[in-house]
Amino acid sequence: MRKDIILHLSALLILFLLEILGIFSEYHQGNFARILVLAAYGVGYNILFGYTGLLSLGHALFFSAGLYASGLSIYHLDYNIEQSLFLGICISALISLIIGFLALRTIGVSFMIVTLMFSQIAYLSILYFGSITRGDEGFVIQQSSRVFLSMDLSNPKIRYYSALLIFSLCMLINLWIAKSPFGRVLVAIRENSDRALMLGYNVKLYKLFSIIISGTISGLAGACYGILFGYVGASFAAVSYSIFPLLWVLIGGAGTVLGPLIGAIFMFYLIDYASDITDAYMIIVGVALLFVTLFARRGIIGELRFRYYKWIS
Amino acid sequence: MDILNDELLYTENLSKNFQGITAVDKVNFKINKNEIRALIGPNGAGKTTFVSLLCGRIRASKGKVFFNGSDISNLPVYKRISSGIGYTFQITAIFSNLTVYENVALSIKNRRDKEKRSIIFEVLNKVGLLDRVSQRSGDLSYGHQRLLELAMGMAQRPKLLILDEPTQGLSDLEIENFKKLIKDFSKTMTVLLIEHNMDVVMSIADKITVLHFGKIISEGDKHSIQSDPLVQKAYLGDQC
Amino acid sequence: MELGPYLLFASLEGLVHAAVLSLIALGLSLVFGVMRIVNVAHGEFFMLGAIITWWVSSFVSGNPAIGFLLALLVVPIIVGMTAVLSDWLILRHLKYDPEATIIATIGILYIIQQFALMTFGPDAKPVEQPFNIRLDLYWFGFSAYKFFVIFSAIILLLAIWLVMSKTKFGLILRATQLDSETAQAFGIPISRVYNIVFGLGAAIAAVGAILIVPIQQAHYLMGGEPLLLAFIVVIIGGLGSLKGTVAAAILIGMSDGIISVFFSPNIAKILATLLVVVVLIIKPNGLFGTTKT
Ligand SMILES: Nc1ncnc2c1ncn2[C@@H]1O[C@H](COP(=O)(O)OP(=O)(O)OP(=O)(O)O)[C@@H](O)[C@H]1O
Ligand SMILES: [Mg+2]
Repeated sequence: MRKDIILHLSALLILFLLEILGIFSEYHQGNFARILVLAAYGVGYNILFGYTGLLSLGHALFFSAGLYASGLSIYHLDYNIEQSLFLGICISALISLIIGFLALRTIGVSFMIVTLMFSQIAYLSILYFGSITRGDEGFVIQQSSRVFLSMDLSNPKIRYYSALLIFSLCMLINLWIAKSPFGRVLVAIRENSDRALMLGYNVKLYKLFSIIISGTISGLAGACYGILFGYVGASFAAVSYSIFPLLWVLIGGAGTVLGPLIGAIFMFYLIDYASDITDAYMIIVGVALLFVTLFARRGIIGELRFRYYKWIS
Repeated sequence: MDILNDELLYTENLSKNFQGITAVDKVNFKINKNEIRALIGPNGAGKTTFVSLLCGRIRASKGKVFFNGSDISNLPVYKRISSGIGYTFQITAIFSNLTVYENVALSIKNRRDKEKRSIIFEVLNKVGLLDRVSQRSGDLSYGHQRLLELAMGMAQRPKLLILDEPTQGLSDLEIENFKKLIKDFSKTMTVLLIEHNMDVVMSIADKITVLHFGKIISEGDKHSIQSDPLVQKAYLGDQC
Repeated sequence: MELGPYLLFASLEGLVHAAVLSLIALGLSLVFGVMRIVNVAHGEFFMLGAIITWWVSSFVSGNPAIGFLLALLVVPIIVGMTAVLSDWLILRHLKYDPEATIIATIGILYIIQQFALMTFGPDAKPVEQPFNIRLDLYWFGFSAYKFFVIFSAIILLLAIWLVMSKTKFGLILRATQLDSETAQAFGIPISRVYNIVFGLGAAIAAVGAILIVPIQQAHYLMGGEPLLLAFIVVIIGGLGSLKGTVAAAILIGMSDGIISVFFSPNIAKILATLLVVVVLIIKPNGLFGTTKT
């Protein structure tokens, strides 16, 4: 229990020290800022997939809900950062509630397909309402709007700390859930939902909560991504942005708190490296997906937990 | 004592059709408090379906279920369970990636930590799994897994505990132990036991209900069941 | 053009869509029906079929019909073998666990798609129509080739129906679909059947691709949209039901075609996807719902 909390806090501390001691080059600092926000998205995904055992193929919907709600409100309505963040969170929570309510009428494979479909509707709608969303091209959030408590969020240092703050928040929420009785029930539903039902749990309601938490964290990550990096575009709503968090979680370890971060770091640099060599760098994603399903089902942290450190959350 | 007050659960014309098959056919069933009731019948008689209707895992096509004086026919599963029905599956159904402790903990709700812990240790002690509390439950032997399920059922503290073929696949020694446990359970709860092992049925059941093709064909104490020609015919089937 | 003829034109276009869509959806539905797996890479087999058709026909100079016939001969085999190989190398080892299979087929999707990009480049590739005849339909001219597409799809669907209902092979497939364990007990070599069905599903999609590519051009990203539509068709049409699939393909293909002509392709897809949502709300256990993870 103790060891576990120390482990996770030290991971955050390391991320903090890397920056404050100036170990990062500018290039890696920028990369890590992105990775941290994306890993927060992965944490959101993991709540639903890793803990509750529901495989969604449509999380880009939640990510882009946050991204567009906050981005559009800044772009069109001149919202400030607080207001737009708040709106992003509310909209993604609301959308998770609605999608959860509808999609949970199905189970198993149909759940995966239905989430994929919903996300596709969102993607196509973004393209269709191009006059508002600027479609495929997307839009830039001006540096002048990206100021929070008179801090310039486009400043690399501030941006990194903000990203770390958001990731830490999401990760700690995840850790807390993992240790709470609520989290135990989610795991029970993942392991055997029929049994959980027969122990008297309102399985549907738990699943709905799980989707709402997962979707809201994903939306928060989306909103922050737009604000910190200043760009909102339809590619973030496309299928590949639903596959990425799945992949990060699988590589890092489904149902582990640090898994999404490890997976995101790994994939980010792998893709970064591959894209220098070929335009077809997404082939890496394909190979990685096959690799984890065929040879490494538990992922990195999952394997460590299974073999050596049973106490890791 | 008021006789009406004695019955814990009863059904009225409870029926279930699966495309074409009537698995449970207008069953009127009654079970009293603190009874051990055995529900027997040949394979496919509808026993699992019947108890699934009681706890709501399957929706009835027709008929009603009354529990503890109120109509629960339209309640969802989780509400029926919280009103005091416990159920263990015919096939082993534990959370194999969780520890023994966590498995039992999941079956206890709305209690404070300390109280919870003492219940967990108490039931694990009773079924003899105390030395395995922190083991991953998937690593237990089959017999121990079935005991864990019993412990989970018991930790729920239900008014009515439904056990679907709990002794299936157990050794003779384990079955002896199991019989004692059920006897012990029945001091605090009512037990409805689906069982193929006649030795178990005859030695612990207060009363026996025989189901055949979804209908109750006989009901009574062990002597009347043993001598009922209808029951013999049902079990021997077309051979006679 | 007046509304009447315009509607006729849109319907004909829609029918061409529907013809190809029913082939793609049938491949998907066959694989789902018999193997109980969702093949997310199905659209990429379609794309592969289209690109290889371009590749094959680029070898043949002179009459484009020769290239087309050559493509009909080799493309389904190449694509089918690719699918057979991916089943044999990958899916088989996952024991067709629904979740792992979906993830793996997403992996296969990216590999095939990016392989096509690497090998054939990012540009759209035109393929000449095997014959270039315009039929004068009084109000407008319509390519005879498009009628040929509709006609070929009908022939192929009939052939598949005959194989499924009248041959021993069809019987084996139906038996496996109904209950694979019992089928195995009766000596049906399940893993071989799965292997063949996975190849067959892809090959059917490839035929659809060969037919459409002279109209539509081949591109490495062309697999996504038909996959989405095929999912919609299979969910609405009913699992493993040939008639349902064809009926739904006509419904979706036609309305997609008509709405695309009158409004916008995106609106057509949004509406079709919404229709699926409605179907699933009315019939939550329909289709995929009966299989558990
Ligand atoms: N979900 C279902 N769909 C269709 N038929 C079913 C379903 N569940 C059970 N049946 C049928 O209902 C009948 C009763 O089955 P049930 O499982 O209740 O029998 P049982 O008495 O528990 O048998 P056993 O002793 O083998 O456990 C059987 O004919 C069975 O095939
Ligand atoms: Mg049974």
